[in-house]
Amino acid sequence: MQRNLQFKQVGVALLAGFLLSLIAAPSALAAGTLAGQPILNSATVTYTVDTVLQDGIESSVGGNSTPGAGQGTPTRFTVDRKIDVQVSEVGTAVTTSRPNSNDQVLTFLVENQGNDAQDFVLTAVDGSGNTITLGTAFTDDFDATLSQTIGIWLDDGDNAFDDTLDTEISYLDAFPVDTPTRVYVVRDIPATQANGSVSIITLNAQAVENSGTSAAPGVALTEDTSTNVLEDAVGSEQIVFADDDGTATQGTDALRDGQHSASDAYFVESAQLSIGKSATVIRDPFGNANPKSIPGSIVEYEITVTNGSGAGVQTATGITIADDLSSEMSGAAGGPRLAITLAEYGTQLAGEDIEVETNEADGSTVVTSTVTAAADSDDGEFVSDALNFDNVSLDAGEFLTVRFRVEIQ
Amino acid sequence: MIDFKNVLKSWMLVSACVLAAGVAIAEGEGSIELKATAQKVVVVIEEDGTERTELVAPEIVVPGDMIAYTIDAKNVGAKDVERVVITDPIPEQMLLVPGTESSEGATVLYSVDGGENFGREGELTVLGANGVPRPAISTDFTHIRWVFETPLAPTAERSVRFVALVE
Repeated sequence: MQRNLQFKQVGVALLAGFLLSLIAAPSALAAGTLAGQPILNSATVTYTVDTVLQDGIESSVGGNSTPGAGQGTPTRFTVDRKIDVQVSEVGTAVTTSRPNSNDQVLTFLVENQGNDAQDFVLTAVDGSGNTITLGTAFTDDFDATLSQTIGIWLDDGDNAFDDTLDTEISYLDAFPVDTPTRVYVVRDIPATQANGSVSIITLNAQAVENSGTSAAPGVALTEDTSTNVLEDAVGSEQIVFADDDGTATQGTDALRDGQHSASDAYFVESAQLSIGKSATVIRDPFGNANPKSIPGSIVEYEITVTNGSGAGVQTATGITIADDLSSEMSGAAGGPRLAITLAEYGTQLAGEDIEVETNEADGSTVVTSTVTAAADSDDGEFVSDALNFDNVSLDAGEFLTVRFRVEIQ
Repeated sequence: MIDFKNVLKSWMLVSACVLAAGVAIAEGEGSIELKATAQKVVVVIEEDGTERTELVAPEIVVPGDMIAYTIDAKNVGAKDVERVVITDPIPEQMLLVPGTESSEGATVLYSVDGGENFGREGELTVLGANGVPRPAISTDFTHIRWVFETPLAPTAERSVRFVALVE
């Protein structure tokens, strides 16, 4: 009795030891034992009685004392089907895109971390005001456009998107374990998209039955929570969901639900142009200190075009400024009429009809030049009561000011 | 000149007789009843956050799960049994979790060659990737063996145990 008690205590100590050993447990190989594999184990005891060696006795589940090979029965259980899929975003960075650019690529890695090949249904879910952190935090504010059929592509193994080599797919067919594979989400960026716009897209991989055919994915899987069995028939092993909760902030992915997801985002980098216009009466025909807007008065218009200095702002080229005054010119009967004067720029020199000032981002350099009102080789003109100024290029943070003067008729 | 073939033959005959005698004497029963149990180790997290382990039937087992093997040896004979040696292979699809093998009252030996040779931990070597022998570690072990230090009296029972991880 005392000995039995002693061994019970050993048993308790062992159980306590399991907790500690969990930390030191060797990590299982990712591939894992294939679903349906039976694991058998049988111990053997040898001993002597009166110094005579006795025949070995094999263990059995219920206890065996009959010596000889084959007299015992091994412990036996079947390895069940572990469903574990992982989707991750590649690069930990957003994809920067320009407005009006097509086939922009988000790169994901999908890996079957279960213990058998499965089909995985892939879906790309548009963000809806959600936020992800890829270096810094990005908040979704538009949806990149799907112009392809599915917009999800399976890499051909070269780790680069190429629509002539890769395959557009909606599911991974009989996707084997331990083969991390790139999957691309491909969208277009609308032409009107402003600088700093963010479109978050979540790629979700849902494990389904391995259909055994590439024609269609298998049926949905449900975790076995009902009757447990020690030994499962091959192909009908019990299903255990072992996936983590994905990093996606959009979608339905949760811990141990047979699916996993990750998010990536398009970040639109563009010029960030703004335009302002002001009018100042600088002189009236009577030389008032505070000149009034009366016929014969000179008005200076100032148009300023600015390219923003925020993150990611790009150089804008080919900017055209147009200011059509013809409606004012032909305004209500008897109303004020405007017309350019060619001799109202202080110490006006020939050809100095329109003043142009270009300001560098750091404010260090201001370049002022003038162009004539005529439709000629310079960048500006005032023809048919309309100002046009073109060929302007502005780096981030730069601004351009165009001034011209008119006389109220 | 010794005829080894005949010696072997007569030895086999003697063995067969002993086996037959054993059957006749004790209706096939040896002096030890050996019982093996495989149980899954489940970590239960209590509401207060503390963890405890439970052993349950290995009904749902997937890679990464741990299985506790318990082998109970009971003396069912009328005399003391001595030099009791229990040997258990670690299933091919599993890895021994180091430190989980019981060692109370027994010397624990391991094999790294499928049960051909046994030695204490630290005495065994295996060939490393570069062809040079290196000390064996728990994942190299193919078998585990307990050599009881004391005899087992009639009706006495003793258990050994180890935990292995399903690869």
